[in-house]
Amino acid sequence: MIRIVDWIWSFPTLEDRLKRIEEFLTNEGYSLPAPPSGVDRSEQEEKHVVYGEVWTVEYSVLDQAGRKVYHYREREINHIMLGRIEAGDSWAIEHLSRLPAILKHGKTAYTEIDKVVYLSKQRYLHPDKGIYVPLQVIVKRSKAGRWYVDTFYPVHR
Amino acid sequence: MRKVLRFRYEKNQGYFSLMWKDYDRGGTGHDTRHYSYLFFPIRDLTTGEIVGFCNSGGELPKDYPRIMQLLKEHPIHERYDVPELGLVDATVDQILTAIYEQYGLAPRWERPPIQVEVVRPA
Repeated sequence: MIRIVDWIWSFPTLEDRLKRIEEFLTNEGYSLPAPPSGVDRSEQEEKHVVYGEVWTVEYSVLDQAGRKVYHYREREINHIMLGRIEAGDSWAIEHLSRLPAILKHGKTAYTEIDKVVYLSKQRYLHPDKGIYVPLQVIVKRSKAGRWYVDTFYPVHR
Repeated sequence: MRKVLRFRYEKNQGYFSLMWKDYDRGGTGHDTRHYSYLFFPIRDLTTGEIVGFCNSGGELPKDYPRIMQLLKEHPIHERYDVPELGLVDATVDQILTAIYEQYGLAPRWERPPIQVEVVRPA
C-alpha cells in the first residue's frame, strides 16, 4: 500500500502537491490556513538558492531580534507540510499562519550563531486529543547569509 | 517484536526522519529535551511513547559527533528495525551511525552556484 506522503511526493510540481495536501487535509477534517497578515510580500516570487536548490520567497518577516526571516514556498510544502503529515500532525498545518507571530512574540528557546528556536507562548488545542500543545519554529541562516524558516512542529511536554 | 521505522533522508539538507511504520494514531510532538535541538525523539502526545526520530533544523554531517555524545549522556534503550538501512534489532546509535556512513559522509550542496563564463576565441 502506498503511503500518503509518497503519493503526494510523486506529483512533480508544487501546485499539484499542494492540491493533494489540501485534499488530504479535507479528508482528515482540517483545512489549509489563510495566508498570514502583517508580513512583507514585496519580494514574493523572488528566487534564492538554498542548499543548492532554488526556493521561492513567499514572504519575509522581521523577528523580535530584527532579523529578516524569509519563508519559502518549497520549504513550506515539501518539508513542513509533508513532515507534519508524515508524523501524524496534520492538525498543526492549520496553524502555519501563526509563524510570523511566533517569530515576533514567541519565547526564544535556543540560540546559536546560525540557528534560533522560537517557542509559541500560546498553546494550541489538538482537536482529537483535547490537549493544548505549543508550537516551535526553527530559523536558520543560509550560507548566503539569509535567515529562513527551516521547520515548524508541535512540541511534546 | 521490534518497532519497524520508516526512513527518509533529504540529502541536500542533511535531514532525516525515522517514523514508526505502524503508528497510525496521530498526534505527536518533538521532545526538545536533552539533545540541544540537534536530534528529537518524536513522542505520542498522550502516552509519551517514542514513535520516531528526526533532526529537524539540523544537518547530520555536521551534527553527528555531537548527537552521538548527547546520546551517550542521555541514552535511548529501545531497539528498532530499519529495513531501508538493512538494520535489525539496532540501537539508536547504530541507526544514526548507519545513516551517517551511508548518506552523511557524501558531499552536500550548500554552496554558491558555479558560474561558468564562456570565452570565445578572438
